[in-house]
Amino acid sequence: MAEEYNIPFDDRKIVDAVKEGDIALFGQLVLKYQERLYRLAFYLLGQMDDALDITQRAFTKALVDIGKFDSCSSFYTWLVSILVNIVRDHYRKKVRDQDTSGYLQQILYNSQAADLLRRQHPSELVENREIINLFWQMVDLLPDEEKLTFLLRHVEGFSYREIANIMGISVNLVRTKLFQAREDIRKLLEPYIEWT
Amino acid sequence: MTDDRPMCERLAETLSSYFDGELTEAEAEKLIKHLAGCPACRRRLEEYKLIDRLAGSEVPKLPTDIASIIMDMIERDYLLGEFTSPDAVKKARLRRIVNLFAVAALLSVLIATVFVLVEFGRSGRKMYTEGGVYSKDTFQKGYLSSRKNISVEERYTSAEEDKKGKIRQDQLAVGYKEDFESIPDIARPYKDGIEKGEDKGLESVGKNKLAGEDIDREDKKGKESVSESISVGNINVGRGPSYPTTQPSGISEDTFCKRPDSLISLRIPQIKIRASLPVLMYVKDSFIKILQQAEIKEISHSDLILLSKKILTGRPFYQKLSRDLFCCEDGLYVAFIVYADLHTLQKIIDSMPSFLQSRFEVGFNKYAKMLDKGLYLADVDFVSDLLRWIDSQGMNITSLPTSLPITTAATTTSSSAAEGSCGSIPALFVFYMDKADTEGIGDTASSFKSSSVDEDDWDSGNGNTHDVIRGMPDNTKDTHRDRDSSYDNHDNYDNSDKISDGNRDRDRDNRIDDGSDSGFEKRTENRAKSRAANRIDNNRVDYGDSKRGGEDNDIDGVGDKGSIYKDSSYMGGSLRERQLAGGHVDRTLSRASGSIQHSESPLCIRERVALMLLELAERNFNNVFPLKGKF
Repeated sequence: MAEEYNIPFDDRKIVDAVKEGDIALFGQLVLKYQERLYRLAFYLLGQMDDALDITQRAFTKALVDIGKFDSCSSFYTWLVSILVNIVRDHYRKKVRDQDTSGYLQQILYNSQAADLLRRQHPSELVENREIINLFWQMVDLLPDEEKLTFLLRHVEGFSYREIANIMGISVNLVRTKLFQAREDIRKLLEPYIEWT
Repeated sequence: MTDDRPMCERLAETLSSYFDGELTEAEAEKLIKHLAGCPACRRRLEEYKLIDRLAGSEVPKLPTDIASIIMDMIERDYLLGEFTSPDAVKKARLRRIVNLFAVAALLSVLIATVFVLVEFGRSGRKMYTEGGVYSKDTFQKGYLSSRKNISVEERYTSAEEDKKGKIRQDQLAVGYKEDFESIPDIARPYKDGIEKGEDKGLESVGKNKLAGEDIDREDKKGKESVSESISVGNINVGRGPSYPTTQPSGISEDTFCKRPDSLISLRIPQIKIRASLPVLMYVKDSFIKILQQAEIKEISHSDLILLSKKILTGRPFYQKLSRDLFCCEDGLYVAFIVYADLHTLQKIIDSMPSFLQSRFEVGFNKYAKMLDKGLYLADVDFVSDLLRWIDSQGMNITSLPTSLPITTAATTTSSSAAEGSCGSIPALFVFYMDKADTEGIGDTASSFKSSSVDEDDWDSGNGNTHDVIRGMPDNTKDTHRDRDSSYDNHDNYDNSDKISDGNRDRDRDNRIDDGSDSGFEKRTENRAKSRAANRIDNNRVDYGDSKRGGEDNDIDGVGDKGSIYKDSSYMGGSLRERQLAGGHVDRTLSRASGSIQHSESPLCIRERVALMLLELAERNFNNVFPLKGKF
């Protein structure tokens, strides 16, 4: 997946051209990374509209701040860091409704898929759409920072150091948050997995 | 086993890192040994793998191709001011460095100043009062003296000598300063126009028999006065007017005012002009040219917004045909907005005279389609966005975007063009005519000298164009209404500028009324008298446009700049009617080609420009929307 998008030389050429004022070339970067960034935004926010808005804002911010881009790093990593900052702002502004959280919990434990999970082997779980939806509901229940770390690792495949750069935290903190996220999900999944 | 549980808990985080391949070899070997004897950690590792598989099991599909949406949004943000130029960051860094040096230099100067003040005691107070603070009166006098190149004292002396100007002198004493204060700074040239109007009223009667010599003499005086102002420490910005900082004696401190902080400096030579966004470029370019020509170096945000709106939209915007004329030192700016389809607009461009075509600039964006010769097309939404952007940003013209990606060009135009409808595509036409152009149409200077209009009114010479446009006094408008009325009869055209002496005196009174703004009612009354007298004396038909009178009184906060718009409406009235009446178009074109040399005022040039454009619009827009009956 990473090889498909990671063409740093071309990215740098485009970025240099955009820096010189050829903003039209920025459209190529948008075309190149839009789907990937949108997917990450969707995972982070859980809403298509919000994801689209955040993705657009990330690209706009990238265009505005493209002069700050250090060509030594990957453009996409830099782009994701912009997205993460925007998502963080979004999280901060978002009013956390406890009822919504409880509602999601109720959905999680009362859904038919949860019942199915109890009887399924792990190899079968990954092919069940209902279970996958439940899994993403679990991810959505994670604390924001843990969810960010988890998604950057599992969805984008970034290394700890890249995640640390993106999130502006230390590598050890990335390690801790990722572990906590996995443990949370593991505990949520544990009652529904039939280990034979 | 119980001893292993704490060990498993301790290694759990390490196991997570091991799963991600983020452990060192030593850590990994240690964990592998533990995993070999711990089924719980192996299950945990399997669960981690399961989570990873679940996370990678499904990729949500995009609801649509969001690239175009994103680019649209980016462009919108771009226009709404959330965007700054990419290379602005580099410049900002450099600017920060420069600012640091500037601050250091400022601190040095400050320290030196404090030292001097301490050292010289009371002499420091003298220094303070002679610089850094100025009074409004001083500002006006210094500015006007440098702009007009004659001193205020001379004008007042002339006023005293003017036997007919005693009333105006009183108005000067009371109303002039109030009026001046009420005019925004953007209207400095218009203030200047007012001042010139007063000059004409105060000086011209019986004095300017040889106007050219007087102007030369005034120029010399002006240079002397400027050099004098420099010698006493006044500030001169480039070729612009001097802003004196000297406190004259006899002025109380209550009249003092520091320089407004809201003013922003426009470093005009530093502004780079790049053609991409048409309307923005047009606005910026127009600003630059107008400000350059008007020698305006400073402008407030509010005035900038006001001017930009007027430049951009005309008045009113949502008319079929609206236009405004802007005059500068050396020529005319003409801008008007026409709603039409692309084909018709292209025809207009093709049929434009070559000298007009050469004055166009080309620009395009996604809302517009680029045509061969500088046609600006802008969608209504685009313009409204732009206006909002101007409102929100205070029209920071130094940070305009450089270019934008072109997505779809004029997607909304095809249907309207096919239907032959109008109103969907407003085209913003702008061109600039310099002296050469105007002389190509008719010899401006010589025509004024030979004009039947009194030289006192027209202040013959090269500077007359902007005199009229900027601060066009009401008597000139009345004069041209008279001339306008004479268009009804071709035989009377050459004599149409003749005004009786009585009318001229009344007009002059009106002009001073405008300059001093002594009162709305009085001004209106004088105008009414003047018009009535004109109608009687010249036995001309009243055009009967009551609305026009209302517009005359509509001083929209821009001083006499409003006269530009007033005159536009004026031309939009009877001239169009006459043009549509037939016969006049041919003469306009022949005059445009220079074959006929009439004695004409600068306003005549403007009329000819407008008529020429109207003729073009009429010829090409006949099937699009009827001009007849609209005006």
